[in-house]
Amino acid sequence: MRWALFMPLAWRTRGNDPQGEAKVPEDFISKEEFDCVAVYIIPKPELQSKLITINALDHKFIGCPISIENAKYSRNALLFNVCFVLGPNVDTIRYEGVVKKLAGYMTSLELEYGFLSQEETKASLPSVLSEIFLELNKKGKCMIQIDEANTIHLKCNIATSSDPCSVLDHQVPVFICNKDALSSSEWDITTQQILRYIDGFNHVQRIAGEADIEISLVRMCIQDMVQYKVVKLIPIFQYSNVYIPTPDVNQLTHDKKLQEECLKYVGKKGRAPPSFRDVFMLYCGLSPGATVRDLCTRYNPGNLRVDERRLIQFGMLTGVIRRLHKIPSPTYNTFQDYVINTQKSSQAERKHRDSEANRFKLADKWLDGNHNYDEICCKTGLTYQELEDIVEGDPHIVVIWK
Amino acid sequence: MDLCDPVSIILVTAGSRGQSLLFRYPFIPPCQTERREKEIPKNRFALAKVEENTDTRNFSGIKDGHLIGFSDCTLANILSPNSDACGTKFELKVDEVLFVGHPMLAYERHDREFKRSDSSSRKDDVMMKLFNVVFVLQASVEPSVVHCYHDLSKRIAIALKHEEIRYRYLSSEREAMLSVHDEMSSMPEDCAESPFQHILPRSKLARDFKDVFKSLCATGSVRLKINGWVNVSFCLPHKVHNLNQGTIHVKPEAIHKSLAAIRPYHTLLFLVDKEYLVPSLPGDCSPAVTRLVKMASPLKSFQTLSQDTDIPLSQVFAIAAHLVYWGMATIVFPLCESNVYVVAPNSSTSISSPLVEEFTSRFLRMSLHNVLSKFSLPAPLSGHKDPLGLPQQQAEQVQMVVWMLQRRLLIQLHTYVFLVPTVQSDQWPNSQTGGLGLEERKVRWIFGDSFPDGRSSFAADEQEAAENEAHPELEEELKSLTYAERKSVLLVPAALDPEDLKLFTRLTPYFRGNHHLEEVMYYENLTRSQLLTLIEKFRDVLFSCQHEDPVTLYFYNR
Repeated sequence: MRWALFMPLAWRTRGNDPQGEAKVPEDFISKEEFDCVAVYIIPKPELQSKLITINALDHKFIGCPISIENAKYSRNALLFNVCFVLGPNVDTIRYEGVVKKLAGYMTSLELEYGFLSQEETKASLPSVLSEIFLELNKKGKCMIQIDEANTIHLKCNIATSSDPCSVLDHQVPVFICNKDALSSSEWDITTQQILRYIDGFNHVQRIAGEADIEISLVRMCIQDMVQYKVVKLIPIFQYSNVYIPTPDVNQLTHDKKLQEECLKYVGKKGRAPPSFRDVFMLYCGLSPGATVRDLCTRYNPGNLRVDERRLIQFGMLTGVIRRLHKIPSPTYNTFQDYVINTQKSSQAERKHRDSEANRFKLADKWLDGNHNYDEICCKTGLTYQELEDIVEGDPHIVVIWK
Repeated sequence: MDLCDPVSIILVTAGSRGQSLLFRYPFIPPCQTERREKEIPKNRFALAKVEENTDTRNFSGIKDGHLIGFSDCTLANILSPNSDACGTKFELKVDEVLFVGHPMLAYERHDREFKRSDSSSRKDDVMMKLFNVVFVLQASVEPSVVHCYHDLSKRIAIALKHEEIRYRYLSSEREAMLSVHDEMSSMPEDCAESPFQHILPRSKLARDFKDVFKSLCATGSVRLKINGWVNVSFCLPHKVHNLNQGTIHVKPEAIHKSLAAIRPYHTLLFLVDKEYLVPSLPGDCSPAVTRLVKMASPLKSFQTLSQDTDIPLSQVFAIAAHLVYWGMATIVFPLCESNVYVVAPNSSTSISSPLVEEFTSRFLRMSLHNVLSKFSLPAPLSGHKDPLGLPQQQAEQVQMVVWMLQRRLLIQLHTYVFLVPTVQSDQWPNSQTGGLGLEERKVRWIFGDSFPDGRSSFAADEQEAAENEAHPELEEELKSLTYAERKSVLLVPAALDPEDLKLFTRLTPYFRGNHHLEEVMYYENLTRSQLLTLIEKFRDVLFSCQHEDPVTLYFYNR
């Protein structure tokens, strides 16, 4: 990554070309080149205090021009801009926050005691900038003390720009990095409290219950952890679940490292690791229409020294297999039919409230084809079997596996 | 509003009269300054939101899909770069607004000198130095979208430059637009009409830009004829391949990947009606395209299609790739009775989905969910056939599968075969050391792991001795296999039959899980039953596994 940073201090007068006041490294940009981008680095007043990124001269310039108006300055205003110069293919999102924050630091330093305008403090600017440049390139963060009261803290944004995923109550968070390597003090208090309940089998609702924390908070904590790639969410394990292999199953036969990891992960505790052939046979035995229970009765993973729960967990974490969700959906031809029929049935239901308590618990909104068995069971408190009985008994509901 | 829709399109030129913004679309009528109603907080204890950037006078950015806060003068200033930056990608981001363009010099230096001497009589001409067609996007779009818009801007710029040199088209359009601007600026202050409104009827180029903007928002594809002479056609894959109300997005990288993996046994599945597709093709397109479109059917592979249409296979691929990129078709394995389909993971199964009604109106008295639930369990297509059904019912069944494949509700599962040895061995036998090497080598029997170590190695020794005597020449043919694999194969009873072993040897490269059965059948010219029999005979070392074809899977990504 080639990037540098510089800080032009500008004077808005005709004939006086704006000059780069401090540059790190020195002389990486010529005056001609600077003229080319000057309009974006020292822009018109309309564009001040905005984050401006421009691709030019095989670089990306990212800066935030600031203007401080005060009669004490020679032209009634001090204009400055701390720019970062990045390679043409670098993602600028990483630095956007840093640039904005640094501009804020510089503004407050100037407002407090004229850091940028006084000659003696201005002289220290190149060294400060070069330190920021070196530290950010090396560690991605830096901390520079300007004086007793002011310290600059900067850190590049590591989270990706992807949208945060939604965390559902019936999902199970599993650590994808070594749990012991995480020092719990790095996390906020709520996360610290739930950390020990994340064992790869507890779902979000149960974690909330056991840790005695409000479920929306737990969801937010886990969402953060997913964003930082500490945990991954997988569906809750049940013997009635159906999984099928994905094209990534090829990886397992080619990648020796993944194989070893897999054998170590899926083996029963305290026994010799299972053979690859058996593990692979179990993964290949997963197919639509065959539940984990079927797989167990057919192959008896216990005898093969395989823990089927960890087998599925490993498969889901590495993407070797995927879950087929069971979705009850109504069979009406149009949405209107569905609405009319559900209104009718809910009226009828009220009469038989006592006899069909379970059916009543299952509101029709759960049966509109958007919700899978896990979600419905988790939200309504029905067991899998109770739900299965209701769905089997209703001629207007079919089950879709996807 | 879709994220990859453009916010605005702007034409900027710089020349002897300074930088000027000639045209922008959509333009906001200046009178549109409605006051925002004050929001009443839901919870009266909630902290009042910090009112940041809500002051509309100073706010500049994108609001409700409109670019606001930037004056024409500022835009002209920031969008006309230095002449050194011409001919390259122009990308400027101001907070949440992204400007993408391809600035071009109107004349190269020698052109200009030539023009000068040529048109010295026309002194009144206002020289134009550079122009830039800029698309305004939201800053959060993906880089590949930005790349596509840059491509479009570049195409328009090249066409405009060509017409400028040929016909001075851009100069005359510029004159027309500038004169409108001048007229408007001489009007009294209170006249609240936008000059851009008056440019539209007077400039063909402005109307073209308006059409470009409208069609980008509506369909994502652009067909433009600049000055009635140069064709500019463009398609934004993010928009064109956006199916089922945004549930499926196919990225351009995925399209390129899947196009690189087309095989002769695949085929095209049209996503639009042929009656619509043929007239929509440009008038000067190759007759091969129309011929191919007319003959194509989801039941015919590319190879058959190439024979039927008498077009070389490579050209068939090229045409198919083109149709796929433009969102007219997708790549599938031809429909046949042995195909296994399941419900695609990202398909929408909601009852409120518009697909439900579309299905019912297309296939009378049928419910989409009923049909989907039938496809929930994998069975070959022949298994879904009602044995007592009428022929037209079967035809309808095929139509239904095609319909669901077009909407990516179904996905095909293929069978892949893996060779997994029964014997595990880490080393090759060391023939020089003979007996000594055997001790070091650790042969472990999977089934006999509970056996004492001495016994198992003894068994291995014995086995190896016996088999070396039996097949001295076959070892040579199984060269591509590792030692353990070779040993395991030879242990299978079917290996005693030289014919079977010969066929097996021929097919070993396909047993790495990279080729599905249909592909093996195609490359090795085998029937399904031959292949299945062989796999059955060697089932001790072969595992089969059903999953999607990675090539077609690209079209299903969300």
